Amino acid sequence: MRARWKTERVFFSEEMDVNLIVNGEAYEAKQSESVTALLEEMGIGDRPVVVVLNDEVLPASSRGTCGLRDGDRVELFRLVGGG
Amino acid sequence: MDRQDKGLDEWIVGGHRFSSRLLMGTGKFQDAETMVGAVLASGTQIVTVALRRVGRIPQEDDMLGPLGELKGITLMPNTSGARNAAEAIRAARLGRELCGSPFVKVEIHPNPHHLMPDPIETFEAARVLAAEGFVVMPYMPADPVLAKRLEDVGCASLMPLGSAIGSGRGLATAEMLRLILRDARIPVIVDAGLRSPSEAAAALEMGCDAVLVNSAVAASGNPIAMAAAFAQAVGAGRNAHRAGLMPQGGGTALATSPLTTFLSVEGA
Repeated sequence: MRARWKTERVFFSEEMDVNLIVNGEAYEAKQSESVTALLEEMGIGDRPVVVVLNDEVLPASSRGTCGLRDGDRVELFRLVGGG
Repeated sequence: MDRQDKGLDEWIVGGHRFSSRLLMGTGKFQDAETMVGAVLASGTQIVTVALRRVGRIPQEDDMLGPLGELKGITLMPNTSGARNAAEAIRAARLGRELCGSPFVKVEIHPNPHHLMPDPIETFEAARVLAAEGFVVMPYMPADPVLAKRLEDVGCASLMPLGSAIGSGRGLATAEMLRLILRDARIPVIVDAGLRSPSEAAAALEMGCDAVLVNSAVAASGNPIAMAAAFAQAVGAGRNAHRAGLMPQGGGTALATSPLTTFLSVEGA
């Protein structure tokens, strides 16, 4: 799993958007220092979801420190009713 | 029979002990309150859930939130939506991450018309997931040969269908279920197709270890009352199985009351 620390992301200024693919659709993240920030921005907050970053499950403990880059593919899954 | 027939009448699946023999699905319920009410009324200890991508609308109903607060319930994520083994394996890993449970209901039914489980993909997914340490519970056709093969690759239980998912056609596969039961060394759970509590009772009488219901409860007139009715039926069927049914007559009536002395004076 690639962990990208905030210090590596100095390149991105605060005004710059990050172009992601979220659940298969283009998504322009406004504020994306971390996956946690993306979840906040999407209105998911701390509701239980599992995050898959570029086909790898991202442990919940890494969300706060894992940054996002242009082209990253993020998939979010949650539990729903089912038989 | 190395089933768990003594003491508390618990059954063991994948090293986990359960006393309730009724597994519940959480789909099709009108609202979270009814679903939780039905889960409680059923006395179930294993509840299935599904996995979906998070939609773009942030305020989706959190149907399952209240489930997490219930004590003594094991969540079993299913792999519904998977069309092949690779997708099911991926879904199982995501489900484990979300539920923190090693249980997985492997469910691969590529044809939306009949939703029959794909035996080849199901076998492959079960093999891989069992080797990874999952407690694998495969939804499967009621096929005794496949049942043995699934047992051999380390499945924790077998979940043959009674009839098509959501069809309410009951135990259409009864004869095949008997063949599976005859040789199974792991728990057999009838999954799918049940409509009425009497069918659940029949499955347990036959020797099945448990049943899994969802539509039968969720789509009934009163899901909470129906969940309680299923719990009673499963208990009755299990008790009947343990007691042992009387031998079946060969088409000849056998009187239960003395017939010869009705008109004569006793002792005369």
